[in-house]
Amino acid sequence: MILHIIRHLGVKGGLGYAYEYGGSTVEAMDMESRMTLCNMSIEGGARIGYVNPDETTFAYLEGRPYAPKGAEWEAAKKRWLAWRSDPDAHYDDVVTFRAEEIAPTVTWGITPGQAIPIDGRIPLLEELPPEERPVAEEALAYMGFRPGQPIKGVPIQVAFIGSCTNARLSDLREVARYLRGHRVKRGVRALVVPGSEWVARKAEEEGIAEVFREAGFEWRMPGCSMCLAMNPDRLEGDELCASSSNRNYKGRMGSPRGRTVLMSPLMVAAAAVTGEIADAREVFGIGR
Amino acid sequence: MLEKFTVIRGRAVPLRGEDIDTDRILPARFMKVLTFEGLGQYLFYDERFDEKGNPKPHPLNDPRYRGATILLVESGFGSGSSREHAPQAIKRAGFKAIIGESFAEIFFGNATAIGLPCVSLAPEDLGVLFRSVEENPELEVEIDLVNKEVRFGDRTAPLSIREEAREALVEGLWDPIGELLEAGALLDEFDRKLPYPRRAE
Repeated sequence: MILHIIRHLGVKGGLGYAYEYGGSTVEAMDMESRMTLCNMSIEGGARIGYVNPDETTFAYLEGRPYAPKGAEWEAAKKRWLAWRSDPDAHYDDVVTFRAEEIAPTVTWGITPGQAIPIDGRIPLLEELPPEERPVAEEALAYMGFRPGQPIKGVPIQVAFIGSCTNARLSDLREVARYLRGHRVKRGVRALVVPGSEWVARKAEEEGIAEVFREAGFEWRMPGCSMCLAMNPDRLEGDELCASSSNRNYKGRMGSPRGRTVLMSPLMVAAAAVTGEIADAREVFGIGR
Repeated sequence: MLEKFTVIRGRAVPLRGEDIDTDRILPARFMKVLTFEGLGQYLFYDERFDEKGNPKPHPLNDPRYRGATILLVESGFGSGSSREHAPQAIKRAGFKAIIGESFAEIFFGNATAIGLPCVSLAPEDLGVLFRSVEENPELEVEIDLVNKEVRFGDRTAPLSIREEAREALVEGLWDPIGELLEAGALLDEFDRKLPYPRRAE
């Protein structure tokens, strides 16, 4: 969803703005999905991303370490609700998307805004606004893609489910639910790196770690890992990585020629089991 | 006492490219440092050097621009990861200011907070400045934060910068963390009102 939004608003779309997300889809999302949305507002150029506090927020916070308790909790809830945007609030700009029109979205280039639906084609230069063409040309050369080629079916060497943005407990639960019974394709290096110590512990307790291990993923210690490659987890040469992290800039995964294709955690799992960029809906028979 | 930025003078180096991200400015693997000392040598490392460490053609490797203290960029400069290391590397490579069309929000904030002014010019003025510097690398460029203009050759172009940032730079009040730490007793007072673990505990 956020890749779709950034694709349409651009990586500079949010300059000078704070993004507030609302509407029935966002209201129905759990907190962790909202965090992914808000976290990646930065990739869209915005200063912050925000979703109004509601019962979902309170249910998520109540009882967590450092959350206020008793009378302090009631006072905090009241204070937070007072921060909700007024129904007649004035916005500098409003953009509307229809969730049912969003296909799983993946990047093809070197910025998070260079994205397409999984069944789409990499754009032809002439289809792009003139100001986007130089970066698009640079991206095509770096990624080794041809304009107009489909993204589906592109072979991958590495699959990475990780990062603070997209390796929360709900992400791992969702992937594990569909991954059971599948195997990582031979020749693909697949890693899961939980977003935090807490997530790692919970996932071990729930048996999620075991599902990943049985499928052929390496279950790793929590941390940043390949998201920015400050430890030994990195791409070699021009390896291509299907990644649930939030950034696909040149050299981001440690190799100055390494290639990153951003997608949701479930889409990474689909890529891991097929060995190529794939549609998770087809691979796991979702919604068909 | 912090430096007050009123007029910054120097030669410029033109660095073309849209949406240049902080991973390019300073690749993450060079962030394993405790201080920012020496980061300047890794500025744009993967753009300037190949995998064997041999220099590649790049404006920052171009002897004509050696010693330049103003970095010229295009739009969306500094997108991506918020990392202080990126503006630190630019500053420690000897740059005193950046002129561009637009800057990523967080990068702008990080740069301002370390005393590295980022000013914007209208696309047309910026285009003329780029071409002028490319034609004459010796060209002296002047950023005047008091009168809000950039001067070069016989041209004067109005600059824009968020007013709070401009005032902070001109008055030498651009280090908010330093100011915060000087608040002393006020901090303790605020601290006592917080529902979560306090500094004193």
